[in-house]
Amino acid sequence: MSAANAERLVYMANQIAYFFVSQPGDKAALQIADHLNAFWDPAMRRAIGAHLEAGGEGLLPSTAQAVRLLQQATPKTVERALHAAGEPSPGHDPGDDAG
Amino acid sequence: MGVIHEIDHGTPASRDERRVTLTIDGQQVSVPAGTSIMRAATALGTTVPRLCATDSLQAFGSCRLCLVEIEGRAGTPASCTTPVAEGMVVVTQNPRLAKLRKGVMELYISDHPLDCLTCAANGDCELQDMAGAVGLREVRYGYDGDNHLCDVKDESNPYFTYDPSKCIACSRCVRACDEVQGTFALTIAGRGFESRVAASQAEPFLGSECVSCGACVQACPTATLIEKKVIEVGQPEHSEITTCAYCGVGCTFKAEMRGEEVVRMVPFKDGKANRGHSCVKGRFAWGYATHRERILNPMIRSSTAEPWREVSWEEAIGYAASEFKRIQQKYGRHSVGGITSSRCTNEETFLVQKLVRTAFANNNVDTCARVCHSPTGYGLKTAFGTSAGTQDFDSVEHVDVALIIGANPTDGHPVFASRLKQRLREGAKLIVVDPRRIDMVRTPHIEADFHLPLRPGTNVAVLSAMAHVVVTEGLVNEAFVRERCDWSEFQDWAAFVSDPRHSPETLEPLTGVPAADLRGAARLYATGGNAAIYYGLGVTEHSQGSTTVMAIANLAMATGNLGRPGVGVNPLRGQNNVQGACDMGSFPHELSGYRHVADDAAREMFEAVWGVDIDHEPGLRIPNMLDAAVEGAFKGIYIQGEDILQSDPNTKHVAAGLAAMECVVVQDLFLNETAVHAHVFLPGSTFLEKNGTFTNAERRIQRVRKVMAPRNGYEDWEITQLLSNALGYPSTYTHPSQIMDEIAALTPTFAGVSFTALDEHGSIQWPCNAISPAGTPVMHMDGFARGRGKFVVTEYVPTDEKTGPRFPLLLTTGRILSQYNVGAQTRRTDNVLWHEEDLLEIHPHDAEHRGIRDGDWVKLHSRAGATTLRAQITDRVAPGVVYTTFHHPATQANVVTTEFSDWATNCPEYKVTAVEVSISNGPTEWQERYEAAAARSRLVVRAEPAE
Ligand code: SF4
Ligand code: SF4
Ligand code: SF4
Ligand code: FES
Repeated sequence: MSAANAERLVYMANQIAYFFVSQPGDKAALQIADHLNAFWDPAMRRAIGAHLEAGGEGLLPSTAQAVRLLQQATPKTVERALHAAGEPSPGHDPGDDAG
Repeated sequence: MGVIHEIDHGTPASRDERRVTLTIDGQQVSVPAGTSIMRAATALGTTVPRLCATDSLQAFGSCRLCLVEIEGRAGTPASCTTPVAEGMVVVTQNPRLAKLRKGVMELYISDHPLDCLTCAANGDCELQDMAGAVGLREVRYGYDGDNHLCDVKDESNPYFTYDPSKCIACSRCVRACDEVQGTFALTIAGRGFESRVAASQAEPFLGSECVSCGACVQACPTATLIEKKVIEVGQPEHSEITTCAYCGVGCTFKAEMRGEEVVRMVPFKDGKANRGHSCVKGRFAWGYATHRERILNPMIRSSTAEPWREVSWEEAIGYAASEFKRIQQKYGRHSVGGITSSRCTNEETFLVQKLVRTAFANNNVDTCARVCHSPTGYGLKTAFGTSAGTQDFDSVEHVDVALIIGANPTDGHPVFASRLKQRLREGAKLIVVDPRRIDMVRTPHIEADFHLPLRPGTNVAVLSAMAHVVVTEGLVNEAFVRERCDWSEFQDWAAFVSDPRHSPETLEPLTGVPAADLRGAARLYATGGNAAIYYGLGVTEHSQGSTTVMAIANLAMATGNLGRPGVGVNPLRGQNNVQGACDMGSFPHELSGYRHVADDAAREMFEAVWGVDIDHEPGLRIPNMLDAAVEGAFKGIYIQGEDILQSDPNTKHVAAGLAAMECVVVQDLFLNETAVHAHVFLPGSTFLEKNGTFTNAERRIQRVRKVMAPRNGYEDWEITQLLSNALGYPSTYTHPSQIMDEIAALTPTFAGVSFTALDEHGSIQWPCNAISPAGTPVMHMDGFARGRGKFVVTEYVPTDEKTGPRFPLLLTTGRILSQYNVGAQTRRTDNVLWHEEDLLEIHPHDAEHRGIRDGDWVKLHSRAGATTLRAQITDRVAPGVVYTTFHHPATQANVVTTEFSDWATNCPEYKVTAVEVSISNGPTEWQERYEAAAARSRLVVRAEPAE
């Protein structure tokens, strides 16, 4: 992966982090990880994982924590942990059951 | 099959719930109080003769043809202006009335050119009809008196003419322009015999205030105002109901035809989105379907340096399929993808994403909603649990306060704007939050109560400040919040917005919005009755687009403005079927009905029907595909009806991505800008040539009906089907209704939808299922889709796109009424008369500072690139802000926009780019190089005609 692409992934992941870090409670890493699982294709997630392993330059602490979570847990585990913490997963939750 | 004629009840329906019973011509009838006698008579099948009345307009009472007798009342009152009363006894026809009516008709006819046999309106003229209805047999005054036969016609408008000699001064056109359209362009100038219709200050129509909506033409009972096309080809002989293919309002029309030729498009009175009105695009700008530049034969080339070669469908499809297979074999399953179109039908969109998930066996599918309303999806789903707008358009009739933010309805959603203007003229209040002084801020008989001209990029800060006022001034609807929302999340949010750093006063230097105005606007929104928020791309196309949508939802929940008519959160969708494209599973992470591909139960449903395994991981979004292409990992794409090179941000990056691919397949009407980089061109069909459905901004599913055979040979869904078959995934539909049946079977919110149900109901708003078989006009009536409404803390994060010494101005982009999106269709119609080129709006101070005069060529540059266009000096934009549209490829406004995007969805930040503007003497090098390359790449070698 090129440096330009890594930089762009880091930028996007940190942008996601800025949002979740500002939310109350201490669930940002879970929320960021779940967001990445829901919306980033696996190659992008692998690429940012590799970037973390290579030193993780530019990653905010909570972003780095989330990327580590991606490596340690399956998407389903992250999603379940998020629900257990009382938070929705806007990416994964079905938006279809409206009546 | 003839022309569909709707009943004209003469005067509008009364909304009164009380009933009144009366007797008309000896028969009893019961109607709502406030109904006119004329309308009541139609309930009995009786048409009282009339000329100045029509049911789209308030009664006027000028022609005196509709006289009736009422027992116990003297004289002969006009039935159009006289309301019914309990026990009233009315006579509509007797010798005395007949005589009076004949007398009136004689006067009209004596001043009318009697060229009926050669008149374009012959057979569709109410004057003619009325002469027949009253039994006119002679004109005692003769025809030699004064007349207007020598008056000059006004043919300036490209679509209709005004022939004053035929005018009966009924003033229907004037009232249509006032009441229906709300433009107030027409007046009756002069008095008595001299009275004539005049546009603005007696200017030609084209140069006047007229926006060419055509409401006056539709209302005119004679041939005075008439479509040029009717003059050219004659009266239609059959018609079909269909849906406009331009914007997300979703107007329905009667396509009136002669054989396979469209004579005119007449807005359908029963159209639930438009209620009989339309704008210039839908009514008039359909000529692109037969434009000479339309491509009708498939073409291929092995490299974009070569000219195009016309080939058979078989060869084109075979070549595309073999290339995709070769690429997947060489670079892997994930190296190809597809883009669905928000302009195509639901069925076509569903089929493209199905092709990607089955034949390509990955989830690399996306849609242009990515670049417009994807943040709406994310934001509303988070807050309410479902991603669609909450209301129907009829809801506007119950609005007391309208808050428009980041939308320009008079240009982007004209028919909605007309309906809103009607409500505003009835007294509803208006708040506009927009960097520009859009037309809604001040238009005839309407003045916004507040215009908050914020700095581009500060939406979240402004909404937090409004929330601050609502919470700290005790304007929260606590009962609603306690009953419907999560109380503890509300408290977190309330504490957050109450912080003094969110006060209007603290934020004023940042947002540029005077604190007092902001407080006033927030109070009005919270306390003015039913308050509805209408928003557009000025909300979503920001790096905090999703956050802004959540901030809007917070405000609506905190004030209890959800779950009933007249309120709600209403995204104004850009393209005709952008809602549908999202619903149909066009996003790489979602199957139809917004279910994630990782959702095992949902995926298994699809797998069972489709007979393949579906990848359970999300695929690439458009910007990710382009990034991956530049990286060398993404090599082939199938694009249906999108011009990503012109419509997506940072043109140079898009071009680099496309250039790096080995197989780009474009399916479109014209050789668009993206096709410059294409290897296979599959000619597409227009909305006039296909069957299917579109879903508008109010979740309303409406039929699109074929009125002519596809000139290119196939409807778009058939082309996708050919490609799928060639790729090895069998597809055997014979009609789009079968695709809809599959959608309904796989998508719970569409469970009750079918072509039969649509034909029966006219249209259906999803969710449509066992609980609401006729659809759902207003959502969240008894509770939010997700259970409790979720308040989300919306911290303002300034965009990284910042002004500085090199780029001191902020560019924001938008669109205008007569053109549509990248302009591929509208530029190929006479609509260009209203917008020949994109202009850069700049404030007089900024212009003066740079020595720029009105009309000068200027160079607009950002760190992404530069382009040139002409300047228009105006104080519509604030100092420090410049504005342009992106309808013309020569301008390439997206050369200057950057790759910054919404944090949650990657929706590009079109609405904020730091730029500098300087005097220039012509196109930039990029523009020149691009034009030369584009011209080269459009060369076509025609196939030898068969002997
Ligand atoms: S076309 Fe529309 S805007 Fe123009 S004069 Fe007629 S009603 Fe008014
Ligand atoms: S132009 Fe047509 S609608 Fe207008 S006043 Fe004349 S006859 Fe009536
Ligand atoms: S472009 Fe929009 S407002 Fe105009 S006719 Fe079509 S759907 Fe209606
Ligand atoms: S129709 Fe009633 S006065 Fe003209």
